[in-house]
Amino acid sequence: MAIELHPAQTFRMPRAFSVPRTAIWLFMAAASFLVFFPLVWMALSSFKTSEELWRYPPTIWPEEFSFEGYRYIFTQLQFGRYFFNSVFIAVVSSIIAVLTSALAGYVFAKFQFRGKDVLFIAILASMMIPGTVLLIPRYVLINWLAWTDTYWAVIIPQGISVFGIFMMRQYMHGIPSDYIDAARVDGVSEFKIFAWIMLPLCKPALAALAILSFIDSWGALLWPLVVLNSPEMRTLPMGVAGLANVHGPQLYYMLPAATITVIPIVIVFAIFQRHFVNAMTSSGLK
Amino acid sequence: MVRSKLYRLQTRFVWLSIAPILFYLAVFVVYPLGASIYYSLWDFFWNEFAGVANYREALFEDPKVSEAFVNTLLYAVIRIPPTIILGFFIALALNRIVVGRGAMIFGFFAPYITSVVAYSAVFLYFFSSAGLFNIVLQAVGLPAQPFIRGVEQALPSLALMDAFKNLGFDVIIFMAALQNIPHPLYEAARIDGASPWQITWNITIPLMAPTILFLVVVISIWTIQVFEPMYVLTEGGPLGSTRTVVYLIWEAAFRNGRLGYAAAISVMLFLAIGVISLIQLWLGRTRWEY
Repeated sequence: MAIELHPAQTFRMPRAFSVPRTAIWLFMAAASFLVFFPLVWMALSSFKTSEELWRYPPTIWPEEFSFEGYRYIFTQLQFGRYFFNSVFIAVVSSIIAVLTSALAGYVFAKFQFRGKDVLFIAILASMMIPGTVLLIPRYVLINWLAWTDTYWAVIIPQGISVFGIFMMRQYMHGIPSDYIDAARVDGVSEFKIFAWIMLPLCKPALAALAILSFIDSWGALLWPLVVLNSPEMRTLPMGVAGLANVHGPQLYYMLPAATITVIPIVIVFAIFQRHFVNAMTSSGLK
Repeated sequence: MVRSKLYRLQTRFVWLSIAPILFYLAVFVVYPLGASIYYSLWDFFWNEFAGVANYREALFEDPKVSEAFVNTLLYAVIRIPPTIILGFFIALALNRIVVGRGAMIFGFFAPYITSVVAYSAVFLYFFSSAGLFNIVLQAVGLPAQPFIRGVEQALPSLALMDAFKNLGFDVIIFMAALQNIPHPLYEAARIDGASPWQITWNITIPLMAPTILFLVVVISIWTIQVFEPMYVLTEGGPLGSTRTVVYLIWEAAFRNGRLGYAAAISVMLFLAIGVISLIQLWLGRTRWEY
């Protein structure tokens, strides 16, 4: 079910308190801006000179735009490389996640087979297992496979998302099976039915899952930190965190680094906000 | 029984489709779960079987372990209630706002999806001795605070930062749940002359109870495993006051090379999370029938 973001509301929800409406509106506007403010400050301050950053009284809008921080992190440090690593890992993980989840979700939604219920319960149960207890054995496994310091070490565990299966199954349940039956009668192969009939019908769910997977992968720190060692393989969060652990003037470089970590996500989110919110709410309810 | 060709093709398709999931579950979930227990019985430093030595050390001899569990519990208690309470009322208000609602949702929700590391970086400035918070405090005549450099203040500072960042998640979930309340309920209440507060207390909140429970359980599981803010901002300090359980596990395994010990602590954490979740679900069992 979708959050209705449509402005037209014919039903007025009752008030929690008898407070004038404009007061609530003002308060909400201020609160939402306040919560968003750190990101705004971060982006603007990333263009300040190091002197202006620590100036008292503090400024919000930079007096003069300085790209020194950005220049430094891309030339002296390896943030261009970190950016590429993050993009590559996130894109590949998302593609794998979407495809495997769609396939598995389709099968759970539209087929019957031996052990189906057991497997589904197993999938649900696995979602409840806290990741920490799996951390060390997974690391040992990656080591044993000689996958440390490779992209695969990060992509494979992220690329298969049990949550994604759950979401796709829910969505596909709602799609009538008539098209599928008709196609079968016509003798179309199962995979073609999936690829050319089901997938196009699921575009909103696929998009939402792709975005969620991308964002999850992009922001991950602990697992990449564990399996990636060499500087060339680092992801953006690792790069930013690396700057944090050396105190002092490093904040000046952390801001551009943090900004390039955040801006792509914020832009994607701004464009796809509606789909995104729909996906989160329809899968979050039990 | 003669299997039709269609049946065989379908079966093959089905099993190929779920093969990745089976592979993933077997290799990355079930096996590690068992391996964790197995490793926890080993001493990786001396590479010998250790039996319950790791557990004995963690439970009785190492003060850092109990300290980490206490820190984590404290962190969760500070981090979770504000977002649930505030989130609920913000969602109530947002549901009634028409103009600019999308922008407000964007404002609340954007911090949730951005990387914790990046958000923490900003707060490194906000919390610093010459940073924004202290500037504001001193401008109104209050003394400057050490925040993340203070033994007492570091953990609450991180917890509140976490709450602030993740507020949007609660708001979105509540908003969706609120829209599921059938309108006739509200109509009937208003016809019966209920005041706004009565409506909220007797209809909205009880109907929200499953959602609140869901949020508490899910957010607890995640918050108990928090790692990034400590890693980025405080490195477990000062004086171990922000060392959470996962940070301790990471430190033991990847800084000190004690994988078996870390595995034992992670098994303990797993059990603790299980117990806490069960307690929460039991306490939250709904009593209202419709």
